[in-house]
Amino acid sequence: MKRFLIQLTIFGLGLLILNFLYFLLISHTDWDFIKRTESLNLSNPTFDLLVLGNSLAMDGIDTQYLSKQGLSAYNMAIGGSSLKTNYIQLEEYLNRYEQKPSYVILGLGSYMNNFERDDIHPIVEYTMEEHRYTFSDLPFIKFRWLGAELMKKIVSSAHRNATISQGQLKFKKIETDKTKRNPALQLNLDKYKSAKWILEILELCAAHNIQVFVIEMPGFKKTQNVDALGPYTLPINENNYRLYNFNSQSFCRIFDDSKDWIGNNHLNEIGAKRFTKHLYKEVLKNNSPKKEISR
Amino acid sequence: MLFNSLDFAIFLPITFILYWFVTQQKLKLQNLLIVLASYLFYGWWDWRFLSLIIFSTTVDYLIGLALGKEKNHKKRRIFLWASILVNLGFLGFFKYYNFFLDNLATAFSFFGTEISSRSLNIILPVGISFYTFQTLSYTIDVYKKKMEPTKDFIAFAAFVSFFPQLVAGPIERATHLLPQFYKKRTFDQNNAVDGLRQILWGLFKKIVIADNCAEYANLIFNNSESYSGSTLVLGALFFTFQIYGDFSGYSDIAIGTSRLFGFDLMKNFSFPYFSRDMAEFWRRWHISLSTWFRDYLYIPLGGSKGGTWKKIRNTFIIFLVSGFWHGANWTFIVWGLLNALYFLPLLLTQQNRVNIEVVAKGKYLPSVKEVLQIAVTFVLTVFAWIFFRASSLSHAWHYIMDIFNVSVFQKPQVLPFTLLVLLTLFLVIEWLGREGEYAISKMGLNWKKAYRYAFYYSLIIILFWFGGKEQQFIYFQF
Repeated sequence: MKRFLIQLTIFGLGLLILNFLYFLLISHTDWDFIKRTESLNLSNPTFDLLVLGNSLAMDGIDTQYLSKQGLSAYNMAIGGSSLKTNYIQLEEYLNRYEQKPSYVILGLGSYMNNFERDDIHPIVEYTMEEHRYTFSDLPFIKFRWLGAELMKKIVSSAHRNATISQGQLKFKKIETDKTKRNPALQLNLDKYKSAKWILEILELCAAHNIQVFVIEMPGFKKTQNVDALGPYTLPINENNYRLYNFNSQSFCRIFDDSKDWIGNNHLNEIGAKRFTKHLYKEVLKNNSPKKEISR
Repeated sequence: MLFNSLDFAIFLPITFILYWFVTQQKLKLQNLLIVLASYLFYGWWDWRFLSLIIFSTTVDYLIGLALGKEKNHKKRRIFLWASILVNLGFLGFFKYYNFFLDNLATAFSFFGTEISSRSLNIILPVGISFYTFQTLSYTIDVYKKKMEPTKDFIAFAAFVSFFPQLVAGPIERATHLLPQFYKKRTFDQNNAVDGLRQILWGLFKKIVIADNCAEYANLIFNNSESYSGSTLVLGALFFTFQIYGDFSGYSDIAIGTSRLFGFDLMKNFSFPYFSRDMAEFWRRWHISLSTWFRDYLYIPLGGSKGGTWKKIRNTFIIFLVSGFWHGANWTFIVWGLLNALYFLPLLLTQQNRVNIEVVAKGKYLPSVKEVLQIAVTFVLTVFAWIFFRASSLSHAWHYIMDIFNVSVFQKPQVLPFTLLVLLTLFLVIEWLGREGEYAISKMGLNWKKAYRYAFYYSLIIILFWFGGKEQQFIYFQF
């Protein structure tokens, strides 16, 4: 029995060591981890603009381009994030760094995301200051999906072929959008009106005099809606905010189906640059709303 | 609590330590701890279930004692029937009440008479199909004088409620498991290590194979009208591996866990998908249930003795009852009927005991003939599983009809590459380990410790990285 327990203990210790090595590996190779670590260790950042959202925004908004236009920008969006996670990231940034941004872009996709999710992205949760570590925080358990991602990177060059630039994840991979547009599909404004975490982000930004632009990110043709670009003035509790519908069928004709996408509604490096040019022109350059649409 | 849950991961080591250290290997304390731990395990789902199992245990314990004392044959039969009625009565009520009521109403309405039927909102107690058969084996064996009734209530309660196999088997025979509660268990290092290896393999089958296959099987079956024939074939294959991984994985975990406590449970699965005919399949699939039906239903009905008509009748009875045991739905009955039709020709031509040894024993590869035999048997099995998985007979019918059209030659609309790789790896390991108790029972035993540990760590890493979304064990619903 004694020998059995000793062997079991040694085996268990080996598993703990493997967990630690796994954590080292993913924290240095996973894009989200790298971004998160970077965003927590910025040196006196003076960004004018922060990008928040999930992978649609992480891939699709070219902060390097925005910086070249004179708007120093950083893309904090993390793949798979909930709005609650975005709120936590913003709050952390505002508490941590002295210089507050003037603008926040919240890049979302109502056609594929659940705005009501109350979970916190595991990578963000793991690296939060006040987080208390439990058994379920063992890296093999907490970041289990990253193991499969790691294997994909080992096996496929398309998964390896990306860089991070000012927080944006730039993919070179190209996958043609072969889907078809739906002539009856409308933008789901109700989802935006009822999203409590958008309200929380708005209130946080209002407290720091930060202007917020909420945008519906472009996606594949099958997700694109027939509504106009906007902006739409949406009421949420007693506040209003502006929503720009960049997944409008009319707007999305700027994209080249065979060059701009990496798949699953995400823009690649080329598509992101193309999109950001128009984003800058429509939203940021003049910084004043055009003919607003109230809903 | 599920075997693949954090609750069980905490429960098991605590029970293990208490069992081997606190009881100081005293028999009565060991048995008492087993009972308490098992009731805690079972009550974790729903404490109300405990009243049922305690009642069932008490009734069969008392009936066992009565059978031991009573010499009058008629009175002994009455006691036996009392046990059968109580056990099957509970099972029938909880599992089949609504089914019978609904079908009765349907039958009446077919003849133009509407009757009002109020279905009850009945929660099916987890494991009831398993432990009622287990306790019945006790009373029947005591009646037949195959064993003496026990006077030790705690040992008997431990036998009925033994937590590793309580909720999904193997369905143990009293003659095999109960005597193990009469002897003090001493710790055996090799047995314990082997038990852990079997638990690891069981978890792999459940978490990696079954849960991943379930995701796609559910997607395809639940939306079958939207998919091509080739995709539906894949859906049936995914379910085939889901149910095997799920059920045999559970059995492996149950058997492995029992070994940690010094118990030996019967083998429940013996690589059934490598069977060369359906008779062999039924000697390798859910062995504890099929042998239970053979010994307590088929043989008392006359078995294979008597004329052809009797053989046919008994075969159909066994398979239909087996189908019905799985659940209150016509799909299970049709599944049983199909298997009876598969089995019958072999029985009638006396070909049902041709393939006894494991296929290609001592060889790496099967012969061409064996490959064909395995392929045919596998296809028949997959076909029957469609009925098992479908929500209704109509669903199964449409599913099958949608397979047999030109779209069966198209590329499947769902083709999860990673899962197909994992399934291939799984089948290779199962094939290489088919002569053992479980696939990895002999794997790595001669390797250096470092390589053996690397193998275990690799399996654990695959469990974490490629484990599917958590699914309920299929057989919990039975």
